[in-house]
Amino acid sequence: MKNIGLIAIGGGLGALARWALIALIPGYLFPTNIFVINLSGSFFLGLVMSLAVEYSLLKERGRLFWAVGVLGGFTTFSTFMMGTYSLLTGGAIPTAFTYLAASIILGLGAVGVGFAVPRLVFRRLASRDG
Amino acid sequence: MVIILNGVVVFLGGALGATSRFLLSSWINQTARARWPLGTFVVNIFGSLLIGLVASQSSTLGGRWTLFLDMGFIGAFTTFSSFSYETLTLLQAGEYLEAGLNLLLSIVVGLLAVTAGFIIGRAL
Repeated sequence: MKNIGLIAIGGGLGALARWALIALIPGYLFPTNIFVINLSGSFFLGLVMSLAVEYSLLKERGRLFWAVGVLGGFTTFSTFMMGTYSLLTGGAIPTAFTYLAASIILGLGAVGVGFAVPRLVFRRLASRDG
Repeated sequence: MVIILNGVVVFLGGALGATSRFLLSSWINQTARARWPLGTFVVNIFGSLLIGLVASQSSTLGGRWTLFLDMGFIGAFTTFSSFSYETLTLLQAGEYLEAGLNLLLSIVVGLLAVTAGFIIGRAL
């Protein structure tokens, strides 16, 4: 039950952050706001999962709060699909495919980069100490 | 004051959406024991159907309900970061077919689900 509460608070905060960024970043001709939200959220998920899985620096409850709650609530698949649908039905076919392909490919890359960051940081710290 | 009330609406929708995603996707993953992330897939497709439905009803629903459902609940119910993470995990495990199917099906079925949501909404 405590875990559900953590996910609820995290999800609420993630949704608030998404709402703020959608208002701040324009998205009229191209859904730049959702694009930025989904890629940055993927980067941070990679980072969080590395800290949880590789380094055990994040316990189960921390992972539930950050990965399932905050970042799950921050990033969105439905609005990504809606944006693509709007571009397609609006006749902006090349833009729709660019948005789709860039989101998918860069999203995978962002998770990978986020996952690699702690490894690079800890390696540098270790070599400095040694 | 309006912005604070709207913020509370988005927060509550997001809290409810994230909780529903966790409960539904963990239940699906435990029940199905599939070789690919079925929980996230089902949640994302269902959310895409709902967002089409809500978009078709936005004029009758009004601004605050749309904010609660669209920006809050459905936005947090679906997730792009887990979708990317789980696909990358499949790729790194050498499960190229599963990873490719997860990408392709999520997009194709997701777009069809948005369209179906609009069609259902117009018929209501």
